[in-house]
Amino acid sequence: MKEGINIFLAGMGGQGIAFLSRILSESLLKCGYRVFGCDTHGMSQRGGSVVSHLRIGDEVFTPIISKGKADIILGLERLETLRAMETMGKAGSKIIFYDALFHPTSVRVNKAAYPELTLLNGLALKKSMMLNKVFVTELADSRLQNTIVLGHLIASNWIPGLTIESVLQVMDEMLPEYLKVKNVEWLKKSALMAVK
Amino acid sequence: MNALGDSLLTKKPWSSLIMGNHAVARAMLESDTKVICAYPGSPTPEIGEALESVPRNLRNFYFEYSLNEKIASEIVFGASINGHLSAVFFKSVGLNVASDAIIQMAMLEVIGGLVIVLGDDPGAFSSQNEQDNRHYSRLMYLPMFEPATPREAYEMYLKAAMVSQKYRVPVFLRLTTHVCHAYEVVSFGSLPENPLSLEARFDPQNGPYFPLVSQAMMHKTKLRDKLRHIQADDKIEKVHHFNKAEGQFNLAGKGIISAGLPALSLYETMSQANRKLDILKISLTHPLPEKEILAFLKSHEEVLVLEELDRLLEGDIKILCYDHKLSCKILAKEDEFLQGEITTGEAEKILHHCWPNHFNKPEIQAENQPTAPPRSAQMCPGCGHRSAFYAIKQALPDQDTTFTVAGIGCHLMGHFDPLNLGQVLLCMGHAPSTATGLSLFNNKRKVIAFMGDSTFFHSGLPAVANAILYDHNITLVFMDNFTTAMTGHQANPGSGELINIGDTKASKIPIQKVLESFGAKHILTTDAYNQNKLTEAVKESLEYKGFSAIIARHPCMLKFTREKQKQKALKEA
Ligand SMILES: Cc1ncc(C[n+]2csc(CCOP(=O)(O)OP(=O)(O)O)c2C)c(N)n1
Repeated sequence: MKEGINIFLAGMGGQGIAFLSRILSESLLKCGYRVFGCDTHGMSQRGGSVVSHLRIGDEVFTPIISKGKADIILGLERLETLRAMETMGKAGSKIIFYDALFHPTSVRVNKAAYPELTLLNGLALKKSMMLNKVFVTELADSRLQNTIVLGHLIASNWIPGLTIESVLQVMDEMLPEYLKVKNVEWLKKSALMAVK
Repeated sequence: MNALGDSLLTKKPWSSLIMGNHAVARAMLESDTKVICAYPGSPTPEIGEALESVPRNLRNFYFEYSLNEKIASEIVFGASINGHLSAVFFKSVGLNVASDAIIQMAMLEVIGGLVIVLGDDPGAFSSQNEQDNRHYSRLMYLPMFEPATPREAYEMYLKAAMVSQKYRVPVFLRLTTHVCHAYEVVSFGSLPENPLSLEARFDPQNGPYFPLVSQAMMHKTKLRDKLRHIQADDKIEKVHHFNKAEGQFNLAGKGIISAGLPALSLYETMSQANRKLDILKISLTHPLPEKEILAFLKSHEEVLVLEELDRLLEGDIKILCYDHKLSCKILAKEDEFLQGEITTGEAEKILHHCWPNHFNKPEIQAENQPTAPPRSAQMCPGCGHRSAFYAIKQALPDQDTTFTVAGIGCHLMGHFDPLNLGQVLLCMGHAPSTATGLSLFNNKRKVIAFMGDSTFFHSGLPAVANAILYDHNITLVFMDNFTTAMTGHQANPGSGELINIGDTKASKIPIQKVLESFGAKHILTTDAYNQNKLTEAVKESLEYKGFSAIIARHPCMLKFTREKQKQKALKEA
């Protein structure tokens, strides 16, 4: 029996959370996991928060991860990562997040402050979470940030049996040619980057 | 062809990781549903996305986004009384709009079968309210299936179609947000190879189809009889027993009756707590499977009825207990759970409340005072609505001189800081009429109302005609972006895109011409990016006494730039 793992993905509309969850869940399926999940759909284009629940394992009955029950959090933006840590995180949660910054309206009209990195670090320490920040200075195309996070997840070995080969195979099957080259290139690069 | 359309047309049985909405679309093809109509609204638009991914020349079905939910329902009614299996889908509040038609067709012989796919939204994730549409199945005397997963959504669509054809009665398939948007591996059957029949099969003899007052009672009796027969039909699988097969009742005498996603939340909680209770999961929640429920009640001493939102099953089951003089004790959720989704967290609390000796008090893991500021949706970069709002605001030096009435659609976001335009919002199409009401016995404040293009054709037309007819003193601003933006860019008559099957292009119906033909005398039109012109137009319109209209138009830039990016990428590759 495969043990259950709850993977929570957080970002904002337009960052490719649905793409990330699709590639990851198809890959996990290939690696022999039972997959059950749920994406945010609708009303998500306009820069609102977007999340995705991805649950694997044999004893999983609902597609929704309960509050404070995420084993792994993948973030594509700093504030959304903080929100995910606060609502879904628990002692022992492991986090990989791409440190992209997008100010919500509340910050822009000076009604709230955008979180400093120290806030995330402090929370991770307080709640015993493992926080890994990722940022690639030379990345020109922001649409590849989700692939970078995926590369780091593969290298982390947090999900037993998740191999880069399975992800590459899924990308090959699912991506149109014009997206394939760059995604494959950066997936490989980032998986290596993380190992270093 | 694209990947989705490709796989939906797979002839042989296959299986795939798939979202609930897409699984329903496949069920429509497998059951040979011939006519499908809809009006977009979360959580259901991805059913349309899937159907539209099938190239027109390969479609064995007709699909259209009709102009509103009532029209969509009436079209599929017509198709069904002509012998074609038909389906309609829309969001929760869509049923309010369609209800006048559906309550009536419920009583008529839909010989081809008719499935109403409803996207309910417990928790109000993407709706203006949280309404429990199960009430409608009772109000309309219609059967209702409630799946909990994408696999069940697929299977129950097939069942609903079968029941509908057999009893010639419309059947509800009630999905909820996290059934529509959940994904899992679903195994599908094969596609039928029925030749297309173009026969005309409508026959008044199948009816009567005419609601003469003298026959109204007879129609109702007939429908109630159908419900009784469905209730007694053992061929329809109405419930699912959980645990019984395993024969492990370590909480003997206790059981739970539930339905839909909440039933899964219970499984999850019990699996985590390592407890086993009998669960009776009801698939057909109306008419109530009384026989199965009675057997369950008789074999348990305590039964928890766990349902999402209102206390419908609970009431029905308590009546059963009373009528049959059962001693079974019925437990129910606390009042706080009459609102919102029942996910695992809620199920844990409810189980602890009912059986504290068997279920521990749930530990709270999440931060109780989150610091992350909210990130609400906002208008996209380049959005014409934002430009329009900015220009309109320039014409209103003093907010205290006007009332502003918002409409449904992306432009409702004008309500937020820093624009603050749109102080009241009801439902689609309300804006001219609410504005009219505000303008009566009020000579202090001018009233400005906003309306989107899709909304105009959905339910705005009669409201606008009314305002023009009586020359009500309001200014109506059309926020025209040539698409139904908020729900994912479905075509509407303003967009002039191909929205019909075959090769006829749906003609674009220009808003300005409609207004002119209704007799509007003061209409100004400008691109929403031309801010000076728009500001002047607002000032001028506010001076005008009587009905004035402004059409502020600019294509939805999200749609526009996405299409451009895609074209560019395709060219590069
Ligand atoms: C009765 C009803 N049906 C459907 C919806 C879902 N809905 C929300 S916004 C919207 C789009 C309205 O489009 P439009 O008026 O063109 O405004 P836009 O979003 O393009 O600015 C729809 C259909 C609803 N809220 N109520």
